[in-house]
Amino acid sequence: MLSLTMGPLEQLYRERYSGFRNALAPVVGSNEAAHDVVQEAFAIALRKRNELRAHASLAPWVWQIAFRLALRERKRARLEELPEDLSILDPERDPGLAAAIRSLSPRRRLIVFLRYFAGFTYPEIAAALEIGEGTVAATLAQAHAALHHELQEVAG
Amino acid sequence: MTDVLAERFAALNETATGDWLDVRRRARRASLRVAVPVAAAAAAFAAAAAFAATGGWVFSTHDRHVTATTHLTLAGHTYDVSLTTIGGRRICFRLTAPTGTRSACVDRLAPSSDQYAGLPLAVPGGHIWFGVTVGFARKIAITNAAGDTYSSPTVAAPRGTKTPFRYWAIGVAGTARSFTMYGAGGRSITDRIPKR
Repeated sequence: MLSLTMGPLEQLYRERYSGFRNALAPVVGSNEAAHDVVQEAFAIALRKRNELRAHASLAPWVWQIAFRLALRERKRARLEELPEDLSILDPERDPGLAAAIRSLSPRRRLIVFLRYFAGFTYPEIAAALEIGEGTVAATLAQAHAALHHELQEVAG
Repeated sequence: MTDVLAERFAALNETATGDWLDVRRRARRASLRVAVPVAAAAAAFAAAAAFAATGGWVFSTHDRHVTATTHLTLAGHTYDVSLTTIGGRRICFRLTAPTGTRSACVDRLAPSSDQYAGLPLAVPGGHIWFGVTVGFARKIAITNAAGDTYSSPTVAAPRGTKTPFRYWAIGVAGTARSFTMYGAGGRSITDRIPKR
């Protein structure tokens, strides 16, 4: 019917909800748990939006909140901090890609998920993980090479 | 290679719209983790529904359902209007007229903004508008094509009712052309209503 101008946080939510959920689902183990984490993360961001530094980017800030919540969920379930088994949710949907993802370190997998599930730019990944953009570029290049190698082996 | 990866991930990406109203509702609560046991306790005591009246509306609650009922008169006809919100996301409405009842449930009165959602139902002589607001809106005013303005306060559920919404309903002669929300401090937002 009618709609008003959206605030930046709502706009981010509407544009990136699926990406955040898809990127967090491997961390918490299900789309339902990931949905809950995303909802709660944006709710916290809404409450604390005045704390965001003026120069800071919104998406990485919300991601950090969401990822901390996701890790807390894992801890509650007595799982390790960054899961060794971090992989796409339904590996049977693309077994080749799932196998290729498993060949990466958990840290690289997370960067790949941020890039391809959450749609983060390199600067956003750098801000979200508090690493340099060069590190992001290098890590993604290594991840691409490793995935390329793995996918060729699977295909072969 | 990068594009191939993007394509393969894109095939796995499940798109969903999320629920911004739910985010706002959660933001109002101090903590989800504290609220969950409270909600569970509320559900346990939900066998007996609670009733209360405020601002010309009668509210009843049952479990996570909050039903607000009022009546309106337009062009000599009286209508009973009922809005039921379920857990901050699903909304059901019912309009009872002498000629019959119309009802439906929607997950959202789409497209809703972060401030309000509303829906018109055509009746003889005009439309019955009703919906919910969150945030600052304390009054809704609708102006029709003839320049006449109809307004109604938004009504909060009685204290203790677990709903983030304020409820409103207005009978508008003819066709609505603009919609204005007024805050308690005089702030207002006006939006044109597109011609249907």
